[in-house]
Amino acid sequence: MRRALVWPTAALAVAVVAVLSLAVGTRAVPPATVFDALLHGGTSPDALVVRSLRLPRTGIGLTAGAALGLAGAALQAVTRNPLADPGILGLSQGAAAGVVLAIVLGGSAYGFGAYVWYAFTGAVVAACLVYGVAARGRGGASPVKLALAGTALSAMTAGATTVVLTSSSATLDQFRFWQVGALSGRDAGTVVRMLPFLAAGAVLVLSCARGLDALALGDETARALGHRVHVVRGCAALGATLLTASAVAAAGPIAFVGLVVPHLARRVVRGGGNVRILPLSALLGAGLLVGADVVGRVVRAPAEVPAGVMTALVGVPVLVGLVRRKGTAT
Amino acid sequence: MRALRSRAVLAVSAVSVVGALLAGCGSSATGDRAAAHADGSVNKVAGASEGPAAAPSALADGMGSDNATDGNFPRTVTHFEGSTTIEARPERIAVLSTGQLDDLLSLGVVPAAGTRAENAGLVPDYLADAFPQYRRKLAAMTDAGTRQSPNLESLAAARPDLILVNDSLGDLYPQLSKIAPTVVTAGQGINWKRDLLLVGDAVGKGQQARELLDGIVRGAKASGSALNGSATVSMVRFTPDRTRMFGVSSFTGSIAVDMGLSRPASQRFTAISQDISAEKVDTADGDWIFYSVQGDPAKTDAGSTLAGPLWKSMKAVRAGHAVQVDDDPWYLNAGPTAARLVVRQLAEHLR
Repeated sequence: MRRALVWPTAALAVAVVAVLSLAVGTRAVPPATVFDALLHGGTSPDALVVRSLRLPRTGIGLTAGAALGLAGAALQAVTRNPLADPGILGLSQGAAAGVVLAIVLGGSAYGFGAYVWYAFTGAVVAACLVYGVAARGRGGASPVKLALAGTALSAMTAGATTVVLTSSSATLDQFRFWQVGALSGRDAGTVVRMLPFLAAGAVLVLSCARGLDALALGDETARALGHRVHVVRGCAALGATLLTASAVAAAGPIAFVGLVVPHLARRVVRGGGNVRILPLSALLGAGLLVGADVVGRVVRAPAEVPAGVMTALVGVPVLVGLVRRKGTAT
Repeated sequence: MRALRSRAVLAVSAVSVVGALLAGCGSSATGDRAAAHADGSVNKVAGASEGPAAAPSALADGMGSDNATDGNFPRTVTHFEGSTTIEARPERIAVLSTGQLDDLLSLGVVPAAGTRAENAGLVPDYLADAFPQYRRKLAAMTDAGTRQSPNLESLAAARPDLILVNDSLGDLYPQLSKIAPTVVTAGQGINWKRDLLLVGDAVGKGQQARELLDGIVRGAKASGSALNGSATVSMVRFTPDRTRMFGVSSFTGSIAVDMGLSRPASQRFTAISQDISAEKVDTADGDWIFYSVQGDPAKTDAGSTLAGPLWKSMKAVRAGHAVQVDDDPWYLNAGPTAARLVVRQLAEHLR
């Protein structure tokens, strides 16, 4: 794709998906009614559905998707591992464990505001543990060791979470709803409360874009080019953790967006470097998550399939396509 | 050039995958209500594409015992997984399916071991309230795990002399039979009457069970005929990840049938339930809505739906006719005590 066309095309794709998200659902609402509801409000059931249900969930899908896409791209660059994503490095499970803790300790509190700091703490602890384990021994925190440590910690955290859940049925109730990774049923203020986290994470990650490019050449070279390797790594990892935690707190652990989107972005802007890959990953992540949510609303109508389930189903064909083409396209 | 083309192909194919998925699904979204019933969101009665239009009020063909007199043992009971001989009046009964606890207590028998439904105690509150005289004995019951996966070790340790289980755990029948004689009932709420009769037969109280059942059905009919039968009664259940409305072939739906009540057009289907999304929660409107919430509504999907403008715009809700009821007896466990409770609450509100 021509460089000049990449951004308008991606933006258009996200816009189309967002419009679909407002227009398509288990309830058939004519497009004219959708526009009318958005512009003028109204109290008909159709207008209520568009404004009170579809608008917030589209917003949450866009912000959470952007956060996950950006986090995935940053983590793949930090670890120099194309398989890295918030799930494989243990961040998602760490954040999920944090949310379970919030539910157990928080009593009546519910929703993004009550979860986000616990999720963040959980993700930070998980990140430190994974890095701490992987960095020991010869060779330091190599990509393979990071992935191994992350996978092991993920499994352990998931086990611990399940132990808490099975012994506390009230917690299970609340967790079951949150952990399926649905975008619906979150209150409208969630988007607004998520934005500062998204912004902070994005600033942290994007400010290291050049440093991440240098990291790709190896630590020695990066140092020789004048980058402070540890600062770049720490800063990008902190940003990714913040982004993951906010997405997990808002929408539950949603898999696959962080893994597949950076690959797609790299294909589209080949050789463009992280200055272009990172923001494009955010854009495509938003599009993928909202798109998956739209598909989830129609496959089992009149019931819905949560977005967290659909991302894998929609994301896998994309990933398979990428893998199949990787060998031939040069 | 090749690189450019391959990337364009990739982008196009990725978009078309999503597009094809969307297009494939779009057609089902426009389907009418009848078509919706044919899809996967409907929960059907096991082994039947069409559920019964009323709860079967007799034992299934060939089932029951060879001994019609209450209290006489030994007796051989034919049930859903075979036939089992019970040598003497059982003293230590284990119930693995929660509705059977209701059956036994209503027949004046307190079991020695039981299981829990997910998110519920060993003895549901409505049963503890209905049988205060058994409080101490109920507290001494052995906890044999959850009803989906009972703990066979603690079950065996309770040394039961009869195990009652429903067919959802039919696969366990060979293992359970090694622990104690086992009788398998049909399960599912719509079968509550025949399950009560079979449980009664197994414990040597078949006649008593029949009388109990006839009394409940008579009572339901009497209180139903005193009500305004034209008001439509909607039945909705919120669980943390699903919202369902209940059809005719469900426990609660069958009680509305026994009482002669009307149901909204959207709920006159002969299956257990149908999942509905938050966007279509108004399909469940009626003159009255009896809804339950599993868990704390403030913490789950139900909270945002119940607080949302769409729910508040519904006819029944505006009229103040949306009644929150106890999840356990209404939509989770079926049995005589639950049936009486549902009849009583329906009559109280529709009067």
